[in-house]
Amino acid sequence: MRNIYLQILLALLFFGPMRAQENTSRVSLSLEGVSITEALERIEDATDQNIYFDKDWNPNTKVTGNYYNELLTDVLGDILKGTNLNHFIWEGSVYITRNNLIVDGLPEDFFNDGPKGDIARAETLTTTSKPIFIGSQSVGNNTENIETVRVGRQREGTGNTAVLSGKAVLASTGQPARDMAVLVEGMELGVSTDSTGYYELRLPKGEHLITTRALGIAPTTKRVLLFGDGNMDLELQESVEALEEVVVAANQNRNVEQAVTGLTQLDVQKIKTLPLVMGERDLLNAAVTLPGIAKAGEGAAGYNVRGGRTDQNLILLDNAVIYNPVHFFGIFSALNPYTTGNVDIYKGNIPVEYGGRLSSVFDIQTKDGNSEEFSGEASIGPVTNSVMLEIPVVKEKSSLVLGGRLTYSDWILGILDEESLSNSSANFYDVVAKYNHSINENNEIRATAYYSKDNFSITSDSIFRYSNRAFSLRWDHKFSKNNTGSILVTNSEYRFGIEFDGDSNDDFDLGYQNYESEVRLKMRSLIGDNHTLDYGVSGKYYIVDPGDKDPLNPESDIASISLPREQGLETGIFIADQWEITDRFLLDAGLRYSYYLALGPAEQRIYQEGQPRTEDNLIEVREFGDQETIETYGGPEVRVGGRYLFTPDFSIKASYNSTFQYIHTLSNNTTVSPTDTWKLSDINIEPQQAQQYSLGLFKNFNEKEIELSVEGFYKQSENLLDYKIGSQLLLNEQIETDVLQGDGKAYGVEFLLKKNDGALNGWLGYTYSRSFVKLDSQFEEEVVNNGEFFPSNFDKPHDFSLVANYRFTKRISASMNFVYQTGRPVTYPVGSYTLNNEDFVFYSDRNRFRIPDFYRLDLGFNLEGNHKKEKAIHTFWSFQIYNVLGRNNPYSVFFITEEGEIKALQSSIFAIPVPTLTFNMKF
Amino acid sequence: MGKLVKYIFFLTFLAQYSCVEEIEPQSIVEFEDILVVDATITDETKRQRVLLSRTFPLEGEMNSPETGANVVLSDGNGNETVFEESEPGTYLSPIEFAAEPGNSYRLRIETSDGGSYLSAEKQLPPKSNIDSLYANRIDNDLGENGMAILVDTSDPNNNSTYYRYEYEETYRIFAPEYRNTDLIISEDGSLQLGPRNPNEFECFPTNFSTSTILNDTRDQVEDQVDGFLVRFISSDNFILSYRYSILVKQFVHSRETYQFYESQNEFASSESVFSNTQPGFLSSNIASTTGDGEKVLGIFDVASVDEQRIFFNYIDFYPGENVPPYVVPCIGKTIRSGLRDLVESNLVKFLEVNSGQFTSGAFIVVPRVCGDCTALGSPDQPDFWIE
Repeated sequence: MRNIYLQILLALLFFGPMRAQENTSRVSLSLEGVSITEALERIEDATDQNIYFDKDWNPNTKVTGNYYNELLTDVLGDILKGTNLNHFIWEGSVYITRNNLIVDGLPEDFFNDGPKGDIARAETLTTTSKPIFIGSQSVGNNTENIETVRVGRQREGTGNTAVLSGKAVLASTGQPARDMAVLVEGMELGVSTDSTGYYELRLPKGEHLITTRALGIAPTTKRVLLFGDGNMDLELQESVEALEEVVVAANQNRNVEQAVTGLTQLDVQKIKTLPLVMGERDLLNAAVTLPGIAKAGEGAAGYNVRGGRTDQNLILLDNAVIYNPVHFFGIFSALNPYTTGNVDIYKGNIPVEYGGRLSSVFDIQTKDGNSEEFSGEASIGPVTNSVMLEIPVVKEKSSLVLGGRLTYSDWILGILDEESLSNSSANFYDVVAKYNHSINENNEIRATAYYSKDNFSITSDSIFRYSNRAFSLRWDHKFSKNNTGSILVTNSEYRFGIEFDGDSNDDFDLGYQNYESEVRLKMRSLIGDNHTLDYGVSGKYYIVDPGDKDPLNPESDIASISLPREQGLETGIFIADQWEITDRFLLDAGLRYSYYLALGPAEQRIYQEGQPRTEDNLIEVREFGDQETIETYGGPEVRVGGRYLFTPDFSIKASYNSTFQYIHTLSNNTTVSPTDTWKLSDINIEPQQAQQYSLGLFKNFNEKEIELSVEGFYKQSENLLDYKIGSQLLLNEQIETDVLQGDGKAYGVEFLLKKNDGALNGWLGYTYSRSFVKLDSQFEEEVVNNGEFFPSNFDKPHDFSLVANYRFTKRISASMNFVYQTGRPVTYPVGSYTLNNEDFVFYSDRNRFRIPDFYRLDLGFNLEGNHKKEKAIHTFWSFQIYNVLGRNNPYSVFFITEEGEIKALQSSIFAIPVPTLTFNMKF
Repeated sequence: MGKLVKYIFFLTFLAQYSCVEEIEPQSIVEFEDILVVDATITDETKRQRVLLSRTFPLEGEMNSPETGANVVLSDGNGNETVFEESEPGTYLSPIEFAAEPGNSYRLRIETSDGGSYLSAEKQLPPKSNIDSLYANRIDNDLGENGMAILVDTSDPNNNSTYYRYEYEETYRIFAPEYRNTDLIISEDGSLQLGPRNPNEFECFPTNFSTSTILNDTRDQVEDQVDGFLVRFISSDNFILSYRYSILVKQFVHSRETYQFYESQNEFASSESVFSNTQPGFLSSNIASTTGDGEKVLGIFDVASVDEQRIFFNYIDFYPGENVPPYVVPCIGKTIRSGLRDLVESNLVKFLEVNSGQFTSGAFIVVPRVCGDCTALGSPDQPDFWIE
């Protein structure tokens, strides 16, 4: 077998470039319990290919299968599955080998340009006989199974180190293998691939063992003979684990090695079995089980990250902002879990390229489609039907991902035995499409379009609807080995509307919308051995139509109101250097300068200085012309983080982060309400500002199977937008007289223990954090709670989550999710009074009391169809019970006056266990 | 708007899983004792009234009147009117007067415990007349059939935008099981039959509005209200049975007062499961002048008022239909023991002598209201009543 290997290697070296794989032959045959030898002989007969193999290999293995016009390589792969044999098709012949890896091709420019393109290309054809668990394989003992790759060409005077780089893709789909660890054995050195699968390592010249590890990807090892700078692209096989609910450790030590603090990376595969509301797989609701990310209450819209407000999160889908990414007032997130590849949540040190929000960035990326073959996934759940398709457009170059979800709650409402609901309707849907195209090695284009819509009609006279629209275009270009750049263009729209058609003459149609467009240019340069420079510019144009109201029909006497459009331009220039000062010390120093212009046309009301902002103190109304600058704000935003490695799997990280935010939500609700609107900073409303300090310790145990982290943070913010009690914010033309701006303060400690591997896996998160607001002023009417810090609406000191999966067999698993949280603060009445024959309660200080603590247990049982590769469809059943304990968790406590009598009421969203059954299939 | 949002967010889709239940309010340790001012001076010529009370604990039963206070209304011409306490907490002007357009008013209160309070200065808003008050039989937004009491109003000056309504409804009713005979407790303490007071047969009970009914025209082109629903009476409400009359009073308030009422309503109304208006202390336009930041609840306003009354009969809108069921089911039964006590407390009325329908008890009785409509209200036909 070594001979075969050598022979092929020599062939490659001497016969020059050739196409990577002649695997287009197709075969039809039926095998029933035949030996591998016989099977191969029959394939030989059925095709015009010679098959070279050793009959002594695996004489006892029997194979069965029906194949109709399938690719030869697939048929061989299937037959050899479960053996330690691999196949390799080359020039009309098939070689069966017993090793793991065979070099079978070179890039076209191998012989063209010596000094520049010193590249060897390697391809794995590994089908391991059984899953290789991390750490279970001692590389040194299996050297005979390791392929050797020569990279680079030795030249004089090029120093002792060389850069090894390349792109990792999945053999089956051609998609980039992102976040895959590329490690150098024995050197405690490693990197992870970026979102395009690209990796780069600077190594001493000489011989190295390079291993890869990633989720759902069979681990590989290569012996690299590094002579100089060069490329080694990797094609990887998905491991069996990819189909299972438990995913093998990803990002080896990435948590420890990155300089960024407060980064939560959500693995879409991992949430597959997580029991969630109504059996819906839900990325953002899954994120809430991780430390530092919370919701005000079950089913509340909006996320509170590290004690920040719900309007302080930049939620991006392929870089386009989504203003209200929820369906059904927040019960479900509006992002299709099947098309989503990755979710990175930055809650601490936000990368310099992002700006405009104080607390976090939710970077949600749609996966790249399968450019090799058509595939898809569909699911039928109790609330939605969902389908995702991956359609190759130009083979191995471009593909399209389409995803759609549709609820059939209208139908559910119809069958409910409740008369008051018969006129109701509630439906939502979301669709997403992503196209990616690799033009050539240096250019790649991605485009995403997204739309989500919700419709409600609960009473016969009103219809409420809202929608999100997003579009993004991204062009990645590689200028040279060390310089890459991207241009991003995005556009988003959020709108809601209410149609009211009642009995009186006040029928109306109310609408709100805002738009945001961004152009961003970002560059990355590798300078020297240890500097990675990220820099660029961005410009964001905001348009807000704060509301208009029109008569719905001629009978209506409603006056048309249209609040004037607001416009603003936020520009940013940024640079960050990731500087590897020593092997142990990594510094990520970044600076962003943001500058905001509130633009006309507009009318701005000027109030007397030193007086409360009321109509009485209005001095003048100043007019601004089209595109005239009304006011400017801006300042430097510092984003600095550092990491020090004590040992390869133990590090300490610290960061300091400052941010500006120029757009704010107007809400007089304790939680997010669907009629919340956004307001741009102007003369009267200053931008919000925050600074965050964080410090964390990261440690991996037990061959990196267990990750432990403890992070602390302290955050200060200014100019948070609040409002006076009893103010109406929607369609308010003098909004500045009803709002207040105050300070915020939050701190906390986050603890996360994660077990990535094994039959039992999952995570345990605990956060202790506090969040406060202060609304003080020299004017009595602008003071809340005596001008002292008081707990915010989402101040929940203790937040505990336990997520566990247990795999009984490869096909059967169970999962649980347990949540405990301190009850959120509420404002209770402190007494009653009578006015106009009616009794009312009156409230005192805000948020002095708390609703009872929240806890909930969810369970899920999952059954997968078998993993036989010839099965065209992989099925997955999931039976889940939400709120098993039937805990009546209060969402809020409120007081009403009914027929002159005061009643205290408690509302809860899911007061009883909710069982659901979901069917999912992958094809 | 508030009402609408409420409807919308009354999310019923999840009604099968979500729930709103009544709970015992957490006992509040820090009850705050605050002065409550209810003072609306109107342009009606009458003894103007100011009500002063104190807040009371949530678990408490009644508001306690603020007695012995010095209540002074001053106007822009320098006139001062000292109000007299006619009953505990109720302060009336000594003479009848009406608020005048163009004049400004301010209320000063000194309480017996030394508190001193002063209101903002208010002026009489322009008057707006009720053009028409009328009744229609409709299906309301919830699909319920009944009588709608509707108001059309307009203001020629186009500026009275903030309306509040109060109503007084009076209806004729007959006790369905009225008999000429009554059970009387004789001098020796035994029960015997005697003559019934004939006034117990026909009555004219009156109800007052118990909620703050608000409407505004600020969003409208013209300051005109067409068909604003002041009162809805379900078709199965017995008060419609014979003849019904309603007096609707329309107050025009200042924006500030209106917003106060609006917020008060919003805090006091049923909320959606998903959205809670942030409640807080509703500041008043009356402030303590002692400088200690003492809180005051309530409102002082000067309002213009117009009123109209209408009458209608059941058969006008429900010809040929059965009258609605009476306020309670009137089923006669005998009382095994304790009948005397029930008669003495005036809880039951005689129906007939037990002639064997029941195994025990001499008399068959019905709940009082079935035989005596004065349980509901006055037997006297009011002066305004027109047939």
